[in-house]
Amino acid sequence: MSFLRNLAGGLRGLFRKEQVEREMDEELGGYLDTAVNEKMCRGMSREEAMRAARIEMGGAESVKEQVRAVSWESVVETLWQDLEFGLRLLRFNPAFAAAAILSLALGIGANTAIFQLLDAVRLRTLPVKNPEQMVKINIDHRNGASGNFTTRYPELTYGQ
Amino acid sequence: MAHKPSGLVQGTLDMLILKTLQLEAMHGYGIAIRIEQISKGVFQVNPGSLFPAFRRLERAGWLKSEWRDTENKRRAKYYALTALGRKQLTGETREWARQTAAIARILEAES
Repeated sequence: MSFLRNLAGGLRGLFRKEQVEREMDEELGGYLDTAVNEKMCRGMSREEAMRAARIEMGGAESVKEQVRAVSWESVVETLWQDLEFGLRLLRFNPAFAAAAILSLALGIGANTAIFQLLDAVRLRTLPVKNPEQMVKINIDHRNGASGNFTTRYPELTYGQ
Repeated sequence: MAHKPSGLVQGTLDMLILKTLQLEAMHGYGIAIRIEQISKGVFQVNPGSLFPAFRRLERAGWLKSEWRDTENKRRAKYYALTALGRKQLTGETREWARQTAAIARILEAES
């Protein structure tokens, strides 16, 4: 429930950003006005009151920044901005971008290929029902072999 | 020696805001002033911590807000406790009492 509310609030922040920002502006503006009025009631001049209220507030922009930082959607937004910035830089410098992308592609490709090979050869179990029961049988020549040679299957006796 | 207004103990601002709103809905400035007055000026809450706290508490579902006219015919965002917020306040108050009692016992212990 709380998670859903958080999600809804965050999505509102992302998609109705202007409205949320406007409300925040209005709220902070109202706060400042009330503070100024209050100070004037206590006998400050208008300029003094405004100055004092602004100092108390410590910069509306920084307050807004702090409010934004509370919510998860600001992380999404920062990430998006970083991505945009990164893309723009890459477009500025196509040669560097090509080199970087190529080396990444080669690196990732080579790693994947080697892993696939290792995976198929060593990591995966054999594609049979009970792989632990598999045995390897060598057919040996009589000379040099030991064991029982009078059975019906003398070829399958122990090799040396 | 005159005491300067002190910073709040970490994590208590949320509780103070919830407590301030226990009786009636208030707007941001009203809440700040109420906390300052009731604490006799010991705690001064600046907007830089107040508004982030509102957003946090609203997201947690402990506060709800609506735009209303103030007594001076201005529009302001009024905050009020939700049922969940009341429950939270009760819990936090109990925990706070438990902790301060424990700290007091430690400080008063004969060493």
